[in-house]
Amino acid sequence: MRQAPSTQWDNYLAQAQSTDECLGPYGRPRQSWSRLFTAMGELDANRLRELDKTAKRLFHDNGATFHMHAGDDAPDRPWELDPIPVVLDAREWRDISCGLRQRVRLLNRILADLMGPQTLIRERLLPPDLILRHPGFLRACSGSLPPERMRLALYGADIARGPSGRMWVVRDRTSTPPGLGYALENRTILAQLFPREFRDLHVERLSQTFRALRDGFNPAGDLREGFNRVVFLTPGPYSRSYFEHAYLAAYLGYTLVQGDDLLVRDGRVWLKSLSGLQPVHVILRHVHDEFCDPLELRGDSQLGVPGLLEAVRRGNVALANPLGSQVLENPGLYPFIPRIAEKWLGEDLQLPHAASWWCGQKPERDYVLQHMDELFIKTYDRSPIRIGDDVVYPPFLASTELREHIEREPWRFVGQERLSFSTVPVLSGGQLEPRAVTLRTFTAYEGPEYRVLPGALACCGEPKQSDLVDRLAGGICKDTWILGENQQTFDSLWVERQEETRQRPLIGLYTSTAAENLFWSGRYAERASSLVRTIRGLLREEDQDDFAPHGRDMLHCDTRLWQGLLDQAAASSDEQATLSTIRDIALSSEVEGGVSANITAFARSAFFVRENWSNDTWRVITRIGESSPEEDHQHTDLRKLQDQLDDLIILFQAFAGQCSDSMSRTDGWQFLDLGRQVERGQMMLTLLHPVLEADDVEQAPPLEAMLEIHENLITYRRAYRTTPDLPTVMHLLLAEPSNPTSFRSILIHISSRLRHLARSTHRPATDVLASEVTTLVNRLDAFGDDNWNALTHLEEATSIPSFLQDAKETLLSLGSELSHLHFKHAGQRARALPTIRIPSPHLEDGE
Amino acid sequence: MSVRYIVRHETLYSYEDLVPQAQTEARVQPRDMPWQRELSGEVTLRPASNDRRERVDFFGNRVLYYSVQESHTEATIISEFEVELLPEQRPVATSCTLNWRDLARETNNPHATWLFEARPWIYESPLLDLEAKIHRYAREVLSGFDALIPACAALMTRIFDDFTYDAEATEVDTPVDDALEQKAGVCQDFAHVMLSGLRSNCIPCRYVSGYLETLPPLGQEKLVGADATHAWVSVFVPELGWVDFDPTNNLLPYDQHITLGWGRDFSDVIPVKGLVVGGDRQRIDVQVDVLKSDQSSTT
Repeated sequence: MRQAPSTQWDNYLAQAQSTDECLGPYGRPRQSWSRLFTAMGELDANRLRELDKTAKRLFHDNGATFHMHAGDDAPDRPWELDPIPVVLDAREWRDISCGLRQRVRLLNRILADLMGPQTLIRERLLPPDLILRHPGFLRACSGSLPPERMRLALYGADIARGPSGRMWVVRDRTSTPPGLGYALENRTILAQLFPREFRDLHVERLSQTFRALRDGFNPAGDLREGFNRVVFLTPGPYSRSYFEHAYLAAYLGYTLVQGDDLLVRDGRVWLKSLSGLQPVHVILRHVHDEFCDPLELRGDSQLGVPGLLEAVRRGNVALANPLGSQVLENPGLYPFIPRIAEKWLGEDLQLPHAASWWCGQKPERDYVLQHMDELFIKTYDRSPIRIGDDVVYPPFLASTELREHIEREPWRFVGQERLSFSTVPVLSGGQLEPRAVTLRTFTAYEGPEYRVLPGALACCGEPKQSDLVDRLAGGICKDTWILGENQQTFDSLWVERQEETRQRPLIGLYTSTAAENLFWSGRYAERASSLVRTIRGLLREEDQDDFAPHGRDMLHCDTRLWQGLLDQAAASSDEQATLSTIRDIALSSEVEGGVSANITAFARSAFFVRENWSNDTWRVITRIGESSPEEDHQHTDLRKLQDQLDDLIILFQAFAGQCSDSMSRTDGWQFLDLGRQVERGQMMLTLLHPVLEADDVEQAPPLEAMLEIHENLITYRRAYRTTPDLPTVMHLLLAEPSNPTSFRSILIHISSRLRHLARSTHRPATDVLASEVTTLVNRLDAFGDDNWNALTHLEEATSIPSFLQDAKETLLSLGSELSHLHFKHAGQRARALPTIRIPSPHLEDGE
Repeated sequence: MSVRYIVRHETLYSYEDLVPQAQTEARVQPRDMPWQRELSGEVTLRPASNDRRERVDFFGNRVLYYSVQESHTEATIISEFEVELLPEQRPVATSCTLNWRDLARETNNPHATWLFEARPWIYESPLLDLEAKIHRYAREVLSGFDALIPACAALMTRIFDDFTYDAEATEVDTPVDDALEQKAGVCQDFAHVMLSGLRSNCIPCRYVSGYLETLPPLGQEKLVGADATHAWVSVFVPELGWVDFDPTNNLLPYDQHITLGWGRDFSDVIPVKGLVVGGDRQRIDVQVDVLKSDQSSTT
């Protein structure tokens, strides 16, 4: 075997303990790691730093989440990505996979039993307290499915290598296994970072498992023939894991929904889509069991779908994982599982778990109490312990206090052998350092067997916290590579195969909520960029630029958005005060309707529909969202301010370009573009209003600035080569058919978007809206030279201002009509009926 | 001997605004037991529902699920049934000599033969925390007795004596601790206090939801809607079955208590609960009539 040439590797190996993943039996480097070292070649400190930087940038670009929680400065994600993968050879992975498949088979049988006949408890293989007292045991879910359908569709297991060199199961994740999206994201990033190494080492692809999850995704197995619509249920953008949900939903091609997007009618689940209610057959959920149905489970849940459990009972919808599967997330089960495996499967467990003692039994409790310092103590549902108004996790309690709690509620506690897990090299300050690691594995049902994802989300603990690694507070994550023996062929679900697209024509359905958020993404993007362009125009004037000599008069603009401030600025004769106000609008996050507020609103609307953006578009959105205002914006250099505004304009143009060039013309796109055009039209009318209303030409805002803001100054100069005069400018801005930014062009866009939506969502009423817009176009076209020339004499009434008034009203009502026609399903939340208190009859009253 | 009752239980929801969609779960139909059987029964819904389905819940109670998809401002559910009570079929509590301390000890014995049947009924439940205070309150009474039935009866009497019946004192979700502090509440609170006291002393027991026949004051006609839903407690007695105690009235139910179902506490057997979309302000009215039928016999 060839030694790794790098001194960094040598340094690392020299300090690695015998329990390091890089070292095999007898302290010799493991073959898989040697292969990695060789493939990566010379890794000096510079190269390591460079890798780290690139990985961090890619990681960040993918997953910015715009802090949805007010005043929250927690990181976007619970962990950071380390660029060095964990590697395992395919032979060892086969054994691990075998063990995982055995375990999920066994867990399925246990689940079906606990949610059904409970023979395990009747026959005393499991004590009643361990199950029936566990908060994950939901009585309402018991018997909701026939045993053969009580089956995990996706099983997550955390595994780690113990001192003996064997892999151990550390934790089962059976309800909503988290991390699959992160595993996918890490892989996507590392494949970009190390394309050559990735290919040369024959790293096994993840896509097969995702394909199984997507195409064969029918956890009920026998739910129904033909097309099953799958939706991905997320707790929503306020959940810390929303990014992961959006990422996974986009990759799998499922519609991402929140509880409010679904409803139960006639015992079936329906998606409130743009084109009305659509049946849903499978729900891949990331909402915890007890929050899924406020009718039968937690009544205060805002995340679920009322009546969902009834739909499950009637066999009309399958949930992955089934409701009730949280009962298996119980470390107290571990001591009992080997016996169940022996009795039911006649097999030993292929993957052991750490020796555990459940305190609900007297001898075990005594053992735990006597060995408290040597054991890792947790609660059976991993809930914290309540102390007054505080909650504390067992490791942070003084041992006397913990002892008291164990004695008071022994059934809640489990003692587990403290294992020190193997370590892997992690980049830290340009050096490689050993950190303990657990691997989160994923096993997916692919009827009738299970397929194990060849890879894992590797989670590294802080140094010297190896036994706490499964708590994962602010850790580091890594990709896991299974090094195959043969060349792997490229495959990715991002790249659709033709035949697949044809087979699944119905994916990409939009919820009313998503459509509304796309519409507003479009509006806010347009509003913010118009505002930026306007401010830039104003600053040019401040900067004594030559072409907009009356720039300050533009402050008369009657704009609904920043009127108050502009009025204030205009009223002031002081140049400095005016400039200061403009700075506020441009940069202060405090100003309502300012650039910053609009950017925030844009980024959030866009984040709510994260799954609809391509990775490139999302990068642009991230950049826009992060164009944060300067702390001390009043002192920002004017030149720098202009540069920032220029950058923003480029970013918004990039966004618009991405949307028009790379998004397919789905209903979602129609709404996005509709939002942009409606906003653009309204902005234009708002800005033109003072031009036409001014008492005399001298006071009117300068026409050059108008042209500049609407990006028509060059066009005008090329076409007319004269000083702008009102009729010509207004014709160019309003009615010129060849001008792509004219009001006429905007109206044509709007009407064609509306006609498309009327057809695709089967709503003739939307066609009526389109006709109203077309009427406006016809009126514009009917204006002759007389009408336009009449504009010069501002005092003379012309038909154009009244047209503009009508147009303004039409655009305003369009927003509410759209909301009524297409978004009205969104946001309707069910609430609980009052329950009557029992007014108890008193026998005495009647005697 | 048998007694027949005709029960009519009407729940009316009125809303200030239209409700386009509602889903409801009702536990308002009697369950059959050795000492109770339903002779006839019907649940009427207004507006009618074409999506109604009956099932049996985890505890064996009858549940009616229904949804209404037409807009309405009033929704009514009326359960009408006739039951026959056979009080002689009830466990004969007087014959039981079991020491309550033995029962408490056996409940903690993993090898007890009835462990699976009884053990879950000493657990804390969604509305019952089993705090130390309630444990002491009950312990003080229980420790004056050896035999289980007299001990439970004494606790029942103690609650009856200590507590004032006061509909204003508590709310639907008032914790047992508060009721214990105020020594006041309605039958739900009386039952919850007794359950917590017994469970915290390892005596398995359950919450029973049902009705009680009331009689008008002497010489007066019984008023329509004068009755109400009721709640009491049932205690597990090995080899005998479940024995009922009514702490609100300080008596052992015999032939006046009609059982709907049981659970860990009120939250498991809420007679009517539901979720609606829209509706704005909502109001609930309940009317219960329990009438002894002429068909009752003493033979």
